[in-house]
Amino acid sequence: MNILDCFSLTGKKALIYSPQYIYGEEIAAGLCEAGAEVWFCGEDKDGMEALAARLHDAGHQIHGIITYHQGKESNAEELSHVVRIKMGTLDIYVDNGSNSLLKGWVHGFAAIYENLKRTQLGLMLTVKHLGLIMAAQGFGSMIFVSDYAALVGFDRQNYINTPEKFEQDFSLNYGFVKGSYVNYVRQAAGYLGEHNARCNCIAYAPLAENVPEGFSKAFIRHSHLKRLATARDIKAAVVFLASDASAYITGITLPVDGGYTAK
Amino acid sequence: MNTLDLFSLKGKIALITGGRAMYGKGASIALVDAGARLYLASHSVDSAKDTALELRERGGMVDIIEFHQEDPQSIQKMVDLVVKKEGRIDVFVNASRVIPRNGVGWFQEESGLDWSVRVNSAGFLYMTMLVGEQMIRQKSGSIINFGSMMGLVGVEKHNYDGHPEMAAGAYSHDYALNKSAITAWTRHAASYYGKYGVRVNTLCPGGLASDRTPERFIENYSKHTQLGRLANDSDIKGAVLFLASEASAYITGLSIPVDGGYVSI
Repeated sequence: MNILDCFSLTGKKALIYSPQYIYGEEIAAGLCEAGAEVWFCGEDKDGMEALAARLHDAGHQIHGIITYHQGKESNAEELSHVVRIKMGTLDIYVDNGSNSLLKGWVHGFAAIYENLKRTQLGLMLTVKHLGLIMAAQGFGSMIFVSDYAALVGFDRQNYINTPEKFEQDFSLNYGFVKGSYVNYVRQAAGYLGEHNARCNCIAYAPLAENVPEGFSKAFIRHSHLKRLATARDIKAAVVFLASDASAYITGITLPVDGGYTAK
Repeated sequence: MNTLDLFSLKGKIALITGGRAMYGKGASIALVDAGARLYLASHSVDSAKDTALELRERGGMVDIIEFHQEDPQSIQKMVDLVVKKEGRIDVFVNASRVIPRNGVGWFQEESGLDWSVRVNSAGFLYMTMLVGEQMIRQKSGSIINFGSMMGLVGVEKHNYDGHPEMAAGAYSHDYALNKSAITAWTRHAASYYGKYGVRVNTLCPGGLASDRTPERFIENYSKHTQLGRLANDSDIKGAVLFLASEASAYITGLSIPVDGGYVSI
């Protein structure tokens, strides 16, 4: 087999949770371009439909949208059932749900708990039930989408000219949720590995179009490659981890950050 | 100043949750031995009384606070009580957590996972945030979280060879997720609190041997460490005191494995 064929996702079925958040559009486009049959699931039906329409205009087809409220075991069981019936097999699962976090540092207990029920409890229940599908199949690749906060603390100096972004990023549970994936993928890789399925995480840098200029300059100054992430960077990493090109890689967090966390 | 004086906690106010047993008890002993006045917060007041008695016999100044990590009012009351009595909290050690029931390993059920998220994640963030607010006001403080070696690496199922009942629980969800979150949050929070002179660090202990630990497990696990053994009651003390005291004044955002080299091989 030609090595380039290992990157092909032709004939594979991929499900993306919360694709309407940052990175989701590029991830969906990348998986489509590599040949996968892509499905969406999540709470925001309108957001997912709008994204599917944009992708359609760009020449990509989304095969189906499954409404899924993460956070309850019964909902995860139902998702698993629907996936088995409608998709048949699940080759690739991409969790892009860690972008709905608290804003700002100080919160009451109820707000913290409710947010974590969706982002932590919901994640575990989804992984449990979709993992059982992959275990039964004897193959599959799970990918958790995170960002560089999984690997380093934020640099206050990057936010000097962008107080709004400071408020968004210095959220009480930002590093908590983004960083929870790093060892969870190692743990999940243990169970899934016994069934020939894999689990990895991607720690992306911000996309150029998603951050204010003042922040961009500061971030770029601290990176080795002197630029922010592009759509191509997002697509290539997820296709690599989704495909057989990474068949012997499991339990890792892949930084895609221009070397930001390398110094 | 003599270097050893950097490790002294004389005149310091320390608050610990989960400080009555296991690693938490080792941390409590270290804090009082170094001279801190200790507030021991526990859901189990009767057991905490025994620990407090032991600590006082060593010369420690100890008060017990009844505290329930799942209850925001109880958390607020705990912090308010120490601040009202002492006006400050110099050292906060959060060593408390719950072990969820219902379902084993990969098959943990919603009720148990929800309980873990409420107590170990939401409770953890809420109480540390409240203590952090006080430390911002006083412009100093050291927060010490308890992570785990299992927040740094995945599980080695062969450690449980010979003990199928332990192996069944190997691939549980909440522990690795939560401990991983604590390690990353330590860096995140250190960024937030650093400008106020507040430090945030985490200890990641390895397995602690007790008289109930099966011999075969000790043998399996020990082979996986560089020092060839599980941790004992004393191993945590030096690390706690280092992070609590001025000896680590320039250290923040760090997670220190105290694991006999488990994660290094």
